[in-house]
Amino acid sequence: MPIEIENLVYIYQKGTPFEKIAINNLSLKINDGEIIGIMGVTGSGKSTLLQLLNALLTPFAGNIAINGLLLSKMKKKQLAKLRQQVGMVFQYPEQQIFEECIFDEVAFGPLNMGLDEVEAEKRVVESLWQVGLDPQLYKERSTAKLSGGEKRRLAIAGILALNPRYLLLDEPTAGLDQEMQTLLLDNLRELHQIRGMTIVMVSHHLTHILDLCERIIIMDNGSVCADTSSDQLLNSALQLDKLGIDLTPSLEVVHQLNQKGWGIALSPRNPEQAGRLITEKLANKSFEL
Amino acid sequence: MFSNLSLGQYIPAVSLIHALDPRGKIIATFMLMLAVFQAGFSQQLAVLCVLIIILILLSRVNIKMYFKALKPFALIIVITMIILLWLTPGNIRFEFVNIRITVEGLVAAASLGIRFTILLLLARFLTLTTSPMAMTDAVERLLKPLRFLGFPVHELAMIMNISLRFIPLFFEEADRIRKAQLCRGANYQEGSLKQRIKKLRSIVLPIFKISLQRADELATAMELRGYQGGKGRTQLNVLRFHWRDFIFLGVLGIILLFIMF
Repeated sequence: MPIEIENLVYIYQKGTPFEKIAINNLSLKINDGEIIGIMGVTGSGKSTLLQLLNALLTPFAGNIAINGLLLSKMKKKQLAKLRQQVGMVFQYPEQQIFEECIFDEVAFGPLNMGLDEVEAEKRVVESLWQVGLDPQLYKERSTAKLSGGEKRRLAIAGILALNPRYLLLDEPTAGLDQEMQTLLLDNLRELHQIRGMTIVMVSHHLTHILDLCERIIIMDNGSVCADTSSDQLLNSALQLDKLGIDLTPSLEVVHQLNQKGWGIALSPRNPEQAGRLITEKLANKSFEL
Repeated sequence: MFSNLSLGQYIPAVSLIHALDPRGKIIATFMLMLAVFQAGFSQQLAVLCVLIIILILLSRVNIKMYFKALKPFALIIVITMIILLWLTPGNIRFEFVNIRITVEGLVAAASLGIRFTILLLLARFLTLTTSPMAMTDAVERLLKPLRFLGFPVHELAMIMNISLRFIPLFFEEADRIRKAQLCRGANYQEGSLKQRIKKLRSIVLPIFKISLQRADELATAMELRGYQGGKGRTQLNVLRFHWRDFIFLGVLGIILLFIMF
């Protein structure tokens, strides 16, 4: 089930002095089972794109086709079904939690789908496991007593309980501490391996994107300005700088050294390798500073 | 749903109206509103209409922004007009089956429709051309004499200011929560009234939680920056009446006196 986007246009507050083109003639294809990271400066249209993919916004021009079916031609009921297939996790999803008990919160989606209690409970248990919350321990607990990171994972479980084929995440790690960020990224990686679902993640953290995503899309002014693999992206650090994306300190060091001809290859999921190469070169004194 | 609401929206522009003192604009708007109620359905109302069109043009704000304000009230205006048209007794002008349209009914419906529209346009005129900050400063200054009667003028202005600042944010949050619940299969458009109200719980509860949290954070942040109410607090932007404000109010006052008496 690929997602094909063609010449998409979306404008906020059209016809007012505050008019802003959020998506500008954007075309993109998202293949089945991919993990895609979307980066870009604030206001580049990342979150708008996710909402368009979920049919929460209607484009002014262009088409989105999921498995060959055009979103613009779908009726309300079809769109509601589509949203179960394309799960979306908003920024700070813990704010949408409203039920008193964790079980009821996760079961909200499956019950809306019309599933019976047995199936809904099965989905709740599965989803809680998948986000690293032991159902036996958490199921009956109050949502108010969870930590920030746990609430975030609970909100994601609420979406996973719909059993979506696509997972759209809008800055899922924002506002979490380092440990929780790592845990959440590990959960997402496992989800991809177990369910084989297509994941599209918007983030400002280059390290998180490099850690999780195979394909990276960089947006600027509502258009795709780079669509590349994580390996290739690392070798175009200058381009990232131009687009306002900050390199991590370690990547900055490697980039500076490479500019002096050190030739250190960077692997997105193996930064230690770069460290080893630098140490070796320093030991052999085969360098020029 | 919520994103279409443009309550209290201010449009910055370089115009004579924008440059006026907000107190003058508030006084002028109230004078015009009183005139709309007082004017008979004759040349008086027609002159008022022309006056308001001139003010709208002088504000240099896109006319569409004014008519956006009418949209949420259009149904109420039309229904009220139909009721008046239907129920006002008098000289019958048209008659279909059991419905009798009288001359008096036509006049009453048209009069109400025009007055209602002008009032909405005037309210819009004030908010589109006056920033929330300027508006609350002006309210505070205009109500200042009431302080001697123990009326908490500054506190009222501060409440107004915060409300105006947070209303758009509130609607943004509500829209985000609604979309998030839609993603979880919530359907707010189906079911009986009772069911629909029950379903709204998934929007209302998170919104309450966020609003209370925000209010708490704001109160703490204000206290941390030494806010203790209006006592001893100075103002950054001191409002001053200029010659253009006197001319504007003077000309408007003369026209209104001329129209009304």
